[in-house]
Amino acid sequence: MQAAAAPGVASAGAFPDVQRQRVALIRHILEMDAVAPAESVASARAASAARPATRIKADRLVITLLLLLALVVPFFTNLFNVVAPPDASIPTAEQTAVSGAIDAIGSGHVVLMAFEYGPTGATEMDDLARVLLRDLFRRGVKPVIVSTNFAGAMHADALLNSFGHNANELKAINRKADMPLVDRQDYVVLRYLPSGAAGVRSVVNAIFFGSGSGQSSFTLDAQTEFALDVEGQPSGLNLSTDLPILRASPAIVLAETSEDVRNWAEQYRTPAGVAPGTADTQIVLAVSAAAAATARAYSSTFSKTVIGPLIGLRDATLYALERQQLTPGSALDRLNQRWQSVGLGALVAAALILFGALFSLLGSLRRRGQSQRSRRAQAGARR
Amino acid sequence: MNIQLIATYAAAVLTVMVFSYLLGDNFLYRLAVHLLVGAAAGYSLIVAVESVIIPWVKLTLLGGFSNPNFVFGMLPVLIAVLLALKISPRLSRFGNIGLAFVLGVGSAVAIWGAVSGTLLPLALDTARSFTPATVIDGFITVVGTLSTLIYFTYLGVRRPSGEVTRLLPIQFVARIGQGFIMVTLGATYALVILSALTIFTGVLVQRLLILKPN
Repeated sequence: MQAAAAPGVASAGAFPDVQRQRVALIRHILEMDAVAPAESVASARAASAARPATRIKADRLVITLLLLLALVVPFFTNLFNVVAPPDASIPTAEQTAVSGAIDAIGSGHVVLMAFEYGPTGATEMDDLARVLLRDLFRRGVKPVIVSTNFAGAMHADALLNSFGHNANELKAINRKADMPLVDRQDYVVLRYLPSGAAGVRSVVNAIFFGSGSGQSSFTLDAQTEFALDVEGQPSGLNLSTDLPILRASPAIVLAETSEDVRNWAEQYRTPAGVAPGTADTQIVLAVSAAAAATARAYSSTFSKTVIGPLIGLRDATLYALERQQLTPGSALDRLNQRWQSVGLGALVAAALILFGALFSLLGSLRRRGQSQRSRRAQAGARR
Repeated sequence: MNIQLIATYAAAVLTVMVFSYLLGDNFLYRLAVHLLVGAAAGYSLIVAVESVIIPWVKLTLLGGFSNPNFVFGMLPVLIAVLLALKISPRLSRFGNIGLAFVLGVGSAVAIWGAVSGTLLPLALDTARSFTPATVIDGFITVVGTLSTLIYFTYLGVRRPSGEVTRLLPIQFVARIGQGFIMVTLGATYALVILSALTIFTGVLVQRLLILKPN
C-alpha cells in the first residue's frame, strides 16, 4: 500500500511525466555541481576543446552584404539616389523655433549645453552639435558644457578641441585661421555630472540658488558643478554673474536616448520656491532619430519651454543650410551622400523586414498545413 | 605620424574587428570587445576618482572643521562607509541604512520628476487634445491612451469552469490597445534602425572611407 502523502504536498504519482522529467533534470544538474572541482574543470576543458567551430550563418551574411552595399553605393554614384535631398527653402516650425531661441541669446553670454551622448552615438549627434556650436560661436556666445554620460564630457572636450582648430570651422564662425578657440576662454567643458536625474536637478538648484553669498548646500552645489572643468582646472566661470545669465538662457540638450530627453525635460524646470515672475527654464532639444518620438511628445506638451526638436542628420543638414553655415562643396556633398546612404539603407532594411515577415508567414502556413495533414492521417488510422 | 592619425587607423581596424562578428564569433571580435570593455571600465574609474571624488574632497574635507562645507562633505563619506559594511555578513544590516538613503533620494527625485514633469502634463495634454479643432487627432490620442491603459489592466471574472477571463468589452478595447502598442513599437523600432544607419554612415565616412578622395 502506498504511503499517504504529507498534507499539502502532492504524492509523486500526482505529477505528470513532463514535471517528473524536469525534476530529474534539476537533480542531474545538482549532482553535476557536486562533482569535485578538478574533475569539473577537466570536463569543462574537454567540452571547450570539443566545441565545434562556429558556422557562418548564410542568411545573416547575405542580409549584411545587401545592407552594406546599399549604404556604401551612394558614396560612389548618384544612380541609386532614392530620396529627395533636404530642402531648406521652407524651414520647419522646429527649426524656426530653435534659431529664434539661439538668436535671443545675448552676445558674450554663457549658455548651458548638455552633451548627453558618448562616442557610440557620436557619428549621428556630432553633426547636430556642430551646427549648434557654429551658431553659438558666430554670436559670440560661450557654451558651458555638462554631461551626465561619463564619456560625454570627454567626447565634448575632444570635439571642441578639433572644432576649434579646424580651418573650415573657424571660417564658418567668422574667425581667422590663426585664432583657434581656446578652452576655458571661448568655451568651458565642465566635469562629469554624476547621478543622472539627481545630477540634472543639482545643476538646476545651483543655477537658481547657487549665486548667493551665504553658505548653503546650493552654493556648495554651484561650486561642485561649475568651479572645475573636465581637466580639474578652475573653469573661469564667475558664479555670481554667470549663473543668473544661465538662468535666463535656454539650455541646449543634445540627447542620444529617450531617457536623456526625459531626464532633462523632467528635471530642468524652475524649482519650487523661486520668486514669482521669474521666467520658466527653457530647453532646446537636438536628438537622435531613436529619441525623436519622446522629444516630440515633450515639445508638443510643453510648447513654451521645450523648443525643437532638431532630429538627426536630416535636421542637422537642413539647419546648417538654413543658417548658411555650409557653402556648396565637399562638406555639403558628403552630407548629401550620407543622407542618400541612410535613405537607401532604410529602403533596403524595410524591404528585408517585409520579405522576412512574408517568408516567416509562408513557413508558418506550411507548418500548420503539415500538422493538420498529420492530425487527419492519425485520425484516419485510429478509425 | 601624429596621434590623431594613429587614432583614426586604430578606430578603423577596431571597427573592422567588431564587424568580423558577422562571420561568426571569433578571436578578433572578442579582442575588440575586451578592449572596449576594459578601456570603458578603466576610464570610468579614472573619471569617478578625478572628476568626482578628488574635487569633492578638496572642496569640502580639506581643512577639517575649519572648512565651512565639512559637514556636507562628510555625508557621502558616512554613506560610503555604511555601504562598505555590506561586505561583512555580521554588519551588513548597517549597510542597509546607506542603501536606503541612496535608493530613497534617487527614487524621490525620479518619481517627483516623473509625476510633475511627465505623467500629469501628458495626461492633461491628452485630455485637452480632444477639441473641436483637432477632432481626429484628439480622438486617436484619447482612444490610444485609454485602450493602451486598459490593455495593461489585469482584471477578470471567474467562469463556472474555473477559468479566469476578461469581460468581452474589456477584451475588445484591449485588442485596440494592443494594436496601438504594436504600431508604437514598430515606429520606435524603425526610428532606432534609422539612428543606427545614420551612425553607420558616419562610421563609414570617418573610419572606413578615409582613403576615398572627396
